[in-house]
Amino acid sequence: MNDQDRLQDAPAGDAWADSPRLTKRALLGAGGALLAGATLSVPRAAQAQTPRTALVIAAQIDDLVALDPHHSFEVTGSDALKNVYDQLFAIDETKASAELMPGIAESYAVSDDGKTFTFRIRQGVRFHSGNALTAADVVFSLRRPLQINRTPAFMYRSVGLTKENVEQNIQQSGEFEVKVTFDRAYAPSLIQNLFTATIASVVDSKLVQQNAGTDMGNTWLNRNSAGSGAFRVARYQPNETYVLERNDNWWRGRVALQRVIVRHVPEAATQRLLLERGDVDVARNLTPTDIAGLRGKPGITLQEFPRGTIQYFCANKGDPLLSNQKVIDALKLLVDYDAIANNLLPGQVFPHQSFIPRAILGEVNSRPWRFDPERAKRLLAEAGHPNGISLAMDTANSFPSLDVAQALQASFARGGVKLEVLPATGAQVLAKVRARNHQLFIGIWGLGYPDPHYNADSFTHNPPGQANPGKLSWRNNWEIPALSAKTEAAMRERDRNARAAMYRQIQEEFIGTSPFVVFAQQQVQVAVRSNVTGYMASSPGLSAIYWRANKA
Amino acid sequence: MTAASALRQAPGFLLQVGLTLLGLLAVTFFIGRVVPIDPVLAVVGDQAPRDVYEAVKRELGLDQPLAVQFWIYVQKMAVGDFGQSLVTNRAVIEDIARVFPATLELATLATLVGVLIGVPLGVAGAVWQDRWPDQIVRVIGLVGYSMPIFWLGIIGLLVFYGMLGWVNGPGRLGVAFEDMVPVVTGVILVDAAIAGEWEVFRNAVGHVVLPSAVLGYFSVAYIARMTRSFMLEQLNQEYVVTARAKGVPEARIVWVHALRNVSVPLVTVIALSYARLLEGAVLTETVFAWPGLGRYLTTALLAADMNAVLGATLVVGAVFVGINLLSDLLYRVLDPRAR
Repeated sequence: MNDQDRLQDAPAGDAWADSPRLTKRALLGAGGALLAGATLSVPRAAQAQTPRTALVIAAQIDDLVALDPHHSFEVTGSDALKNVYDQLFAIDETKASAELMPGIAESYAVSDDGKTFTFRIRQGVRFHSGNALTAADVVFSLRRPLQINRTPAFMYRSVGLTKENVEQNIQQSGEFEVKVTFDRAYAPSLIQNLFTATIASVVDSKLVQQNAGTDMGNTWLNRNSAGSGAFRVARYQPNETYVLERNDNWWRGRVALQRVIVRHVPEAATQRLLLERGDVDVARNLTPTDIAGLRGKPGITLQEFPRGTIQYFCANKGDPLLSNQKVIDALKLLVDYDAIANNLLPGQVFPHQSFIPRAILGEVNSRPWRFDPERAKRLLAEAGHPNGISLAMDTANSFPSLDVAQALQASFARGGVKLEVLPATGAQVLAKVRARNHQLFIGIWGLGYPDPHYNADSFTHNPPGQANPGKLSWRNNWEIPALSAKTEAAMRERDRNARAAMYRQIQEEFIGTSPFVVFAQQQVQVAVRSNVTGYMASSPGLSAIYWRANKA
Repeated sequence: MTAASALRQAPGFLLQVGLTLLGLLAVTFFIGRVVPIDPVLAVVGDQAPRDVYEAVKRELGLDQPLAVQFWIYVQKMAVGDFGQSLVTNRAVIEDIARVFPATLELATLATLVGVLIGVPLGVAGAVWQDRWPDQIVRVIGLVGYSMPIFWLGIIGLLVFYGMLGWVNGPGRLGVAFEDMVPVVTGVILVDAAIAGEWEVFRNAVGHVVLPSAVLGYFSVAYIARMTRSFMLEQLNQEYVVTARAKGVPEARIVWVHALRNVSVPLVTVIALSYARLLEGAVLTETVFAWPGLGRYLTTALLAADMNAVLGATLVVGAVFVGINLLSDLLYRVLDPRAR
């Protein structure tokens, strides 16, 4: 209902004094009957309970674009697909940090020049269709992302695989052996971590080819599944629901629950009501207010899961005001890090100041920046702005960036920085930032695969002389030839420990000198019915885990 | 209205409808092109290198002049090809066929609530002007206009679902009832009735009753207020005085003479109210997790999914035109002077 519906008062007519007796009774009777009818016809709902063998989740899934694992790029997509497909490697979900374990690749070997990886494929794995998983399926699955060339293909391009060279560089070398040749000698840990991503899912090549259509089965796989994982996709309606059915023959063991039903419930308050009534087992997207309201309620447990997404804002060094690092340092001192974590987004984030999230190789817990408006004022004065400055910050008009931007307005003001917040849709803001037309931009950044290089490639890698609109460093005019070289060296370092040390050093430099202000890392806060065990809303492998869930 | 006169008027009317839709297409298309949203990025993602970006831009025809793009667009629209949605990866027409019945179901029930309660209330308000029934109608109207529907929906859910358990929760069906009836019309109540699945039907009623009542409440407020105003005007006409002088029973004067004359403007009011609900009530659909057109359109808009936005807008426009046409036809049935 909108403003157009607000009508002017109806024109008053002359009073018609004589009230007709019969009509009055008739009218009252008619109205009463209508109301009674409307009330009585409502069936009384029984106290709800979800089926014993199914996990029912209320979540916001309207950003789920694709169910084709070689097309999907959203966390929501990974949440579903990691439970449906197996990848070459896996991240052990029982560990607190991202630790690799074999997946469809049982083992691997690297050639002397470090460029060619030979993967030994696990035998005895069967797809949901009953087809046996072979090296041919792995080759098909590794080539396909570049052949269909959707959003996540950039992850393979970043290690030198292209649409043109995949047939040459990815080859079957035995019945259960696959060779992949990269353009350079990359760190084995990087390649393994990359191959835990959703894009490295192994699909049933026979089934996909039977349904190939004109797009290598892209349309078909966006409605169906062809995997070997814990579940298969039984039903999917975009923006409404997806239903996963158990794979009784999963090679890692049979899962306890028969089905997982995820329903799109956009409103947090509605998710909470559904949970309280027992109509769902998990409420996935609750606000701090809802969480506070549910605390201590019988039958409901609150849980937190760290996720590999950081919150940051960045300063465009191409802007005359922001080209001076002292101004940027002043902004770093004008963020009330603790207030954001404890008061604004309690339970949803924890303080973090680097681009590599906690639980990922090379993580650091260094947090040198503290809220200090007086020091910020001094820095601004040294930069030639004793009377303060005015800046504009672009943000998507959504939680949490918009909320933090508004909080920053207040904390910036205490240091003499007048901040104008410019909210717009995510797509509009993205276009502006890619064109480097912003001063400040606030956003969130998620890992695509659990390796430090994924973020380093965007935050600390900006090879000179190239236009790299995909990279955050380029978008902010951060010229860093030396740091870019270090980032490249880290992506090639074969020794895992030495590699971690390199990333720690890169981060120290980043925290001290970059135009990025990382202020928090996200965690997922969910409320679940107390009879549910083992559900993980997020994991170090960057997705939800359904296969461990059970119900008492 | 005779068949011959209808035939005579048909070409002019069709031309009018066609031009309206073309105008709608033009407006939405050009707005879609001037908004600072890059549709290529929505396809390739923001990490794509420039060559991939350029290739997709060419594939989408975005390198062509605007006029050419519009012409291609109109040609496609003419054959029902609304393109592919970026958000759902399905044909927009298929998406709309899925979400529109959900909105149709909700809007129709809400309008029914609005008419069945709003018209008698409005009549009562006019008959007892400035007395207590009238005051009640005014309060209902005032509350209806001033209360945000979002809030009313949440409170409704809290009380009738959360606390009392009288109705089922958000969504169109309970988890256990999904996929139990084959999709024929997409309107679950109808499909369940066709299949004879009365348990599914009852579950669906339990789900639809609250959102349609909340939405219907706003229709009640609007329709009652307008009915009251139209009736007041009629009840002061000379023919009413004449009828009374002739001893016609009061009930007959109100329900037959006056209400019949009111029916023509009332049809417009109801039709407009229905059309507005058919656009999709975004907030109601959000609160009640109702997968309808309004939510589809909003999601598409926020995701820069222009094919879906344009397709859904066109459907909304077509609905408006269709309902206007329907109310025009009803005029002619109800009012001999309009024939």
